[in-house]
Formats: sequence, C-alpha cells, structure tokens
Amino acid sequence: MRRSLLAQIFSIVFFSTVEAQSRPISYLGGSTIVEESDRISTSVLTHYTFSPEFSLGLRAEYNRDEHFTIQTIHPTFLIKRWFGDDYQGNLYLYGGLGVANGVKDNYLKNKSTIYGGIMADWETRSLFLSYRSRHLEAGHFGKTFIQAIRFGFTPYLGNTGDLHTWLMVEIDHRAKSKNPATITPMVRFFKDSLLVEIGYNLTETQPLINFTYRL
Amino acid sequence: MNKSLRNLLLIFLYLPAVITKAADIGEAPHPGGHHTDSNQLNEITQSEGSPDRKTGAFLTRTSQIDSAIADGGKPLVVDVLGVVCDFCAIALTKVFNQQKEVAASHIDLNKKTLSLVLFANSDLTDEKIADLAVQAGYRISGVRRGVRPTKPTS
Repeated sequence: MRRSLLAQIFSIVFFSTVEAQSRPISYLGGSTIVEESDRISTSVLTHYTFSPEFSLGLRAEYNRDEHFTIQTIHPTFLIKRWFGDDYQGNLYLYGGLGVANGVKDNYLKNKSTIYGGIMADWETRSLFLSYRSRHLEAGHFGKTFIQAIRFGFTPYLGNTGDLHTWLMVEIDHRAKSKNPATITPMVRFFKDSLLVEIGYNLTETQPLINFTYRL
Repeated sequence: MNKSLRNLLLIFLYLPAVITKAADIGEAPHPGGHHTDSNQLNEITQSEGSPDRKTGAFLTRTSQIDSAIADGGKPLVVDVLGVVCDFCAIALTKVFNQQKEVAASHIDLNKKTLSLVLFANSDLTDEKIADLAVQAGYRISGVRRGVRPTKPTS
C-alpha cells in the first residue's frame, strides 16, 4: 500500500504540468507574478524565491471548459542548471497541493488536488528550446496529463535594456482532449522586468496571452 | 497566410528592432543607464588588442557608471557564465544593487560581463561577488580589478 502510494506520488511529481514560465525561480528574495492562458485554462501564479534552488508560490487556475478552479500552494525546485559561455540549461521539478472547486454550472463539491511536473529549457542568445509536462489529480474533477515542447528564435540580438523579441512555436499534447495535439505560434516580447507572450492556437482557434513581471 | 498579412507581420516583428537601434544611434547620455558609445574611450575601455571572449571584459560605460567613477568609485568587471537572456540577467543587477558597497552596475549581454563600481571606501571580495552571483542564479568565471579610473565625461 505504502509502496504503491510512493510510486504514485513519484509519478505525479515527475510527470506533469504545462506551465510555460520564464524563470520559475527568481533571485534570492525576489518575487514574480505570472499570468498564463492556454486552450483549456487561465492561471495566475505569484511566487517568492527563498533560495536560488527553491521558490514557493500561490497559484489559481480556472478551467474554462469544465468550469472549475484550482487553488494550490506551488513549490518549484531547480534540480540542475548548466552554465556555458554561450548557453544556459535548466531542469526544474514542481508541484501543487490544494483544492478544486466547481463554478458556474459545475456543482461538484470541493476536492483536494495535487499536481506535479517537469520543466526543462536550453537557450542561447538566439535559440530557445523547452519541454514541460504536468500530471493533475483533481478527484471527481478529473485527472489529466499534459506535455508541451516549444522552440523559438530571435530575429535580432538585443542588449541590456532593449526590447527583445522572440518568435516561438509550441506543440502541446493532451491525450484526453478532442484534439490531442495542437500547435500555437507566438511572439514573446520582454524588456527589463516585463515579459509578454501573444499567440494563437491554430488547431483550436484560441488566443494565448501570457505575461510575467519580476519584482 | 496571404501575402499582405505576412508582410504586415514581418514589419510588426522588425519594427521594435529598428526603433531600438535608431534610439541607440541618436541617443544622448541620460541617467537612464543605457550604454553609451562614446568616442572618448578611456584607459579602461582601450586595450592592447580587441576585446574578445577570452580577455573579455571591459567596463561597459553608462551614465550611472561614469557618474559613480567620477565620484571616486572603484570600477571592476565580472565575467559571468550563462548570461544569454536580459529578462533573466536582470536578477544580477537587482542583487548587486542591494549591496551597500555598490554604487552602479550594468549587465552587458554582448560582453557577458557585469560592470560594477564600488563606493570609494568600500570593497567586495571575489568570494562575496561569486556568492552574490549565485544568489542571482549565475556563476562567474573571473573578476577583473585594478583598472584605473576614467576621465570624467562632462
């Protein structure tokens, strides 16, 4: 019983999530606000960095299709960062523990919720590659496994303080969705502490608007 | 995607780059901290050879850097690994600017360096600098000290 529970927790922590966060762990003592939307849900996360390897946040998510919300405590761990002269790579694990609530015409009772996942990225001044996944267990609100891969490049190199522009394409996969795989081209802008992404899911014809602000 | 829409999208994407570069060319020194391409290169920014990744690091001059040096500050340059993204590297300036020893700081993505000016009667050891870089999520490969002060730009 204990062994199967541990195995289940292990799989949840290591196989999950669809957060597209830039820098999910900030500098020591730094705070970040992240808003993200995808073809299914919209979320807001605010996190505080306790150490260069750990941040803790509060996250709220609204599933627009199923009409339920999830509120969680959201820890993120930096497992490994690779440094080079011209590149940086990161591997994160994260999770969430909280409650799911039905809203609007969803009258299901509150249910405890847990999710976990991996985020990994590698980038240079001009190229970007990332992978993320999430497994969510939300009781009678359902369980899902989502993963996505993103590739991007910048048409020009900016220096400190410039407006930076990146062109990106994301392919995400949700096995239980009507369209299991979708593609979303997007543009990422960032300057100083603000990052904005604007995209459009070509498969489900849904807009994507994300922003991140580092305090 | 039809041709007009594609052309409009390309204009939209390249317009920020054009505006940014035009602003750099026509920019007059101001307190905002943007780097300045000055003809009055001082002994810090000149070298016996061209700056390259190995010899790296020359002080990146901004109005804040120049002002801090003119006030008697001590410039130094830190070579930083993995500085590939401005949005992430801003953490370095945030961490270092919190230190009471630091009068000015600037990250240069092209040179992969952090330029610092310490107050005249202050110092930061190499170990402390390395630790602060770790707090910001980075690693350093060297600290260059002993540069002579620049001439005042005014």
